[in-house]
Amino acid sequence: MKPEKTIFLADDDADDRLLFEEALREISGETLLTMAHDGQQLMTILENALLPDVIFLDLNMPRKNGMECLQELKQSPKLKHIPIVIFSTSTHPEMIDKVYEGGAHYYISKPRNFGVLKNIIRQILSTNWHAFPQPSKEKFIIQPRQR
Amino acid sequence: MTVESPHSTEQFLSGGGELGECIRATDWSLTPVGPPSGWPQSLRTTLSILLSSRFPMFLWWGPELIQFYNDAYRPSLGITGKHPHAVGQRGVECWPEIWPTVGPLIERVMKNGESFYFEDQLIPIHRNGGLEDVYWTFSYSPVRGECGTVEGVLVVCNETTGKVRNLEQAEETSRQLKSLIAEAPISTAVLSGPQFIIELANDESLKLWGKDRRVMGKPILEAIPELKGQPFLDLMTDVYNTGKTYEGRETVANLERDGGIKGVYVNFIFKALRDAGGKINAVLAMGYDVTEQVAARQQLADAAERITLATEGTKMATWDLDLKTFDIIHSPRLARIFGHPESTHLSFPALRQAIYPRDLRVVEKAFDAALKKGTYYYEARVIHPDQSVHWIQTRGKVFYGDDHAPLRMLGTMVDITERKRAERVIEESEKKFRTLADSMPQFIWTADKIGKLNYFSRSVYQYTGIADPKLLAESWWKTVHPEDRKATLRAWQKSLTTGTDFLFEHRFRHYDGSYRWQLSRAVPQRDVSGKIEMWVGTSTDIHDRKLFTDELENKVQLRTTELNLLNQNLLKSNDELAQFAYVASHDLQEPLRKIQTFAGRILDVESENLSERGKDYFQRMQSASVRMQQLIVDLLSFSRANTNEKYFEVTDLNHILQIVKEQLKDTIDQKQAVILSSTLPVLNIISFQFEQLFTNLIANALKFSKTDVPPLIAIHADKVGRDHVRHKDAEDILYHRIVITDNGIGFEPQFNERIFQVFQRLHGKDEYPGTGIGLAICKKIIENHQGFIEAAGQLNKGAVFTLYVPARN
Repeated sequence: MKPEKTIFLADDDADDRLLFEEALREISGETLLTMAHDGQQLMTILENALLPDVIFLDLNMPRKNGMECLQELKQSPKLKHIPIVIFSTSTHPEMIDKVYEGGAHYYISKPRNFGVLKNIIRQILSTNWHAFPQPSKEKFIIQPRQR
Repeated sequence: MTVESPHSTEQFLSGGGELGECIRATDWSLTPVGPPSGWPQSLRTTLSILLSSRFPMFLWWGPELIQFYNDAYRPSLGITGKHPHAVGQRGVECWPEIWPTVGPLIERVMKNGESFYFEDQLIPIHRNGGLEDVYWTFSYSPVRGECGTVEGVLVVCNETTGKVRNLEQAEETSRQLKSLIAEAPISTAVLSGPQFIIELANDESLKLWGKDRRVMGKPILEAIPELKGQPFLDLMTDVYNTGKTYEGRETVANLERDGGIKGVYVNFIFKALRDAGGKINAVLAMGYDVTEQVAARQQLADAAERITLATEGTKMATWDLDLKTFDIIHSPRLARIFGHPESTHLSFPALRQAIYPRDLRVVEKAFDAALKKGTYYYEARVIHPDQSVHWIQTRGKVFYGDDHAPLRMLGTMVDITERKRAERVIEESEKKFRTLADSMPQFIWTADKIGKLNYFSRSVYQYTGIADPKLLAESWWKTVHPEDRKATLRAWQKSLTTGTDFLFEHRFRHYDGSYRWQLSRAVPQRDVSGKIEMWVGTSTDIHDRKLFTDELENKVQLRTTELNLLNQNLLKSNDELAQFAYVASHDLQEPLRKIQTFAGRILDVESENLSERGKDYFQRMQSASVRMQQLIVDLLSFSRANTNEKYFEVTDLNHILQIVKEQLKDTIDQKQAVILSSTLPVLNIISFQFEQLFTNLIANALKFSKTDVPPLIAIHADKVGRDHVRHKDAEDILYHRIVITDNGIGFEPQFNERIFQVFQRLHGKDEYPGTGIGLAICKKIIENHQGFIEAAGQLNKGAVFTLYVPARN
C-alpha cells in the first residue's frame, strides 16, 4: 500500500470542485483532499493543517486570488517547498508567464472532458516531488487538446 | 801768396755772369781747394757746366764741401743774406739752419755715390733779411774724380715755392668750392669722367636722387640705376663731349621715393667743368625739385578744366551783366538757350524781349529783388525765334562797388524745359492716383520712409470724421481699437525695420463710435538701388467676413471638440470590445465547458439509463457546444487581428512553420499529410499573427483535402517586383512572395475573392466543419503587414494561396 497522499484544492467554482473530487475519487480512494473556496481560506487552512503533497490552485478567485496565494506561499519559509499546480480556465500567455516566474510547477487549463481531467490528476499524483525541480517552460503547461 | 787773376789764369772759369766774376775774384788759395791752377779736371769740368747752365746749380766740392753756385741759383739766397759769402764757404758754415737735414744726405752721396731727388720740399733759407719758407725740387748727384772716387756733390735745383704757393691757393679755392657746394640750397654735384663718377654731391643732391652717402665715388648709372632709359645720361654725355651747357625745365625724372620709383618734376643745369688745361673732365649738375609747384599749377588748370566740363556737361550758360551800362557778356551756350546759333551775341534788351510775356513780371520782380538782396533767381518761359516755348532757370549774384552801388551781376542760365515736362507728368500721375484713391471704398494711404503717414484717401476722412489732414496724420493710430493698438504699432515697426510687407487685421473707429475690422496691407516702394522711399498702404473692410470667419472658427472648434469626444468614446468602446473579447474568451467559455463536461459525464455515467435517442440528443448537444466554442475562439482571433496590438519583431518564418506543424501534428499524422517547404524568409512581423496565418492556411489545406489522396502541401518563397503582384495598391518595391499550394478539393474560380469574407462558407457544416472566419482573419493579418493575399482555385484540382509581404529592412 502506498502511503496516503494529501492534496489541497483552492477553487471558487463549486462545479469544478465537484468534478475534481469525483475524478480524484475514481482514481484513488486513499488520497486526502482538502478544498478551499478561495485563496484566503486556503492560507488559513495551511496555517494549522499538516502540509499537503501538492496544492491545486485556481487563479481567478474572490478575496485572495491564485497569484497572491502563489506569492505568499513562495515567500513563506515553511510553505515554499510545497509544489503548486495552477488549475485555471485562463489561457492568457501573460498570466502563464507570471505564474511560471512565480515558481509554480505545472499549469493546467481546465479540460472540457472528464476523462482528460482524470488523466491529468493521475499524472500529478504519480509525480515524485522529492528533488523535482520546476520543469522547462514547454513542459510547464499541461493543456488538454481541445478538439 | 800771389793773387792770380782768374781771367788770365783759368779758361774754364770764363763767363758765368755775376757768379763767374765772383768765383774768379775769390782768393782760392785761402781755401782748402787751393788755387784754380791746381784744381783737378773733374772740378774744372763741373764748374764749367755749372757756370754756363741756366738751371740753378750748386756744388759742394772736396771733403770740406766747399761751395760753388751759378747765377740761376743766386736768387735762392735772397737779396741780402748768404750771397756772396757762400762762394768758397764750407757747407756746414753756410747752412747751419738746414744742415741737420741735408748734412746726412750729402754724406751719403759722398760716401756711397747715391743720388737723391726731392720735389717741392720745404727748405727754409735766410733770404731778404729773414728766414723764408722756400720750396725746392732738387737732385743731389755725385761728381767723381779721375780716379773714380766721389769728389763732390752737384745739386741741380729749381725753386718751386711759386708753384707750391699756387697749388695751395688752388686747393683752398677747391675747398671753398666744395663747402659752397655742400652748403648750396639746391642740388649740386660734380660728376667726373665719361663714367660720371660722383665726385661731389651735397645733401640736396642725395635728397633729390633719393639716395644716401653710399653712392659717393660710384658711377652715376651704378649709383642711380633707375636713370637707365631716362634722357639725363645722354644729356650729360652731350655736355661732356661738346661743353655746351644744358638747361632743363619741369622735366619728369623717375627717382626713388619712399622705397618706390616716382615721377618728380625737376629744373636742372648740366655744365661742363674743365681742368687747368681746358679739357673737360667733369660735369656739374645742379637742380631742384619743382613737383609741388607743377602740381599746384596743374590743380589750377584742372579746376578750370572742371568748371568748363561742368558747364558743358550741365549745358549751363554763364553771363556777366554790367549794371551801369547793361552791357552783357555771355557764353555761346546762352544764345543757344534762346534758340540762336552759338555765335550770336545777344543784348540785354534782346534777352528781355524773348521772355514769355506772361512771365515778364516774374523776371522783373526777381531782378528788382536781386538788386536789393544780392541774389538773382527765377524760372520763366522764353520764346525762341521759331515761336516754340522753353523754360529757363537763372541764378545770379550781384557785385557792389566801393560806394555800395551795384556794379555787375554774374550768373548762370540753364534750359529746364525737360524737367518742367517731367514735373508735369508726375503732377498729372499724382492727380490721377488721388482721383483713383478717392474714388475707392478702401482706405488708401502712404507713408514716408520712416513710417510717418502722409496721405489718406477721401474714404479715410469720411470714415474717421477727421477732416484736417495734419490732424489725421498725427492721430490716425488713435482710431485703432485700443486692444489692437499695441500690436498694430509693433507690426508696423517690424515692417519698417525689416522692409517686409505689412499685413494686419485690426479694428478702426467709425466716427459714430463703432469699430469695424479692417485688413491693412502696405508694401514698400523702393528706388533703383533698392532703398525704401515710401510705403503704399490699403485698408479693406473685412468686418462681415471676419465675423463670419470667427463664427466658422467657433463652429469648427465646437465640431473638433465633439469629434475629440467621439474619438475618446471610440477608444473607450474599443477598450470595451477588448474587454468583451476577454469575457468571450474566458467567461463565455466557462459555462460552455461545464455543459460539455457534464454532458460527457451523463453519457459516461448514465449511459444505461438513457435511450438511444437520448444519447443521440446528448451527442448533438455536445457537438453544438463544440462549434460554439470554436466560434468564440475564432471571433476572438478576428477581433485580436483588428486591435492595435501590433508588436513587430524580426521573426524567422521557418521557425513559425515548425511551431504550426507541431500544433497540427495530430491531424497531419492522421491524414498522412506531407508538407514541403523551401527556405522561408526572416521578416519583421507581428509574430503571433503570422503563426495564426500559417495555422489557418495549413489547417484549411488539411481540412479541404481529398478523402482518397493524402494531402500534399507545398510552401515556396521568393522575392518579386511590383509587376508580379497582381494588386492595384502594390507599390514599386520588392515583395516577398509566399505560395502555399495544396492538392485538395479546391474551389471554383469565381469564389477567389469571396472566400476571404467573414462567415463565407463554400461547404455545409456537416461536410467540413468551420466558422467561416479563418480566411477573413488571414486577410486581416496580411493587411496589417501592408501585404496582399490572393487565392486561386480549381474545383478538385487544389487551391493556391499567395501572400505578398513588402521586403523591408
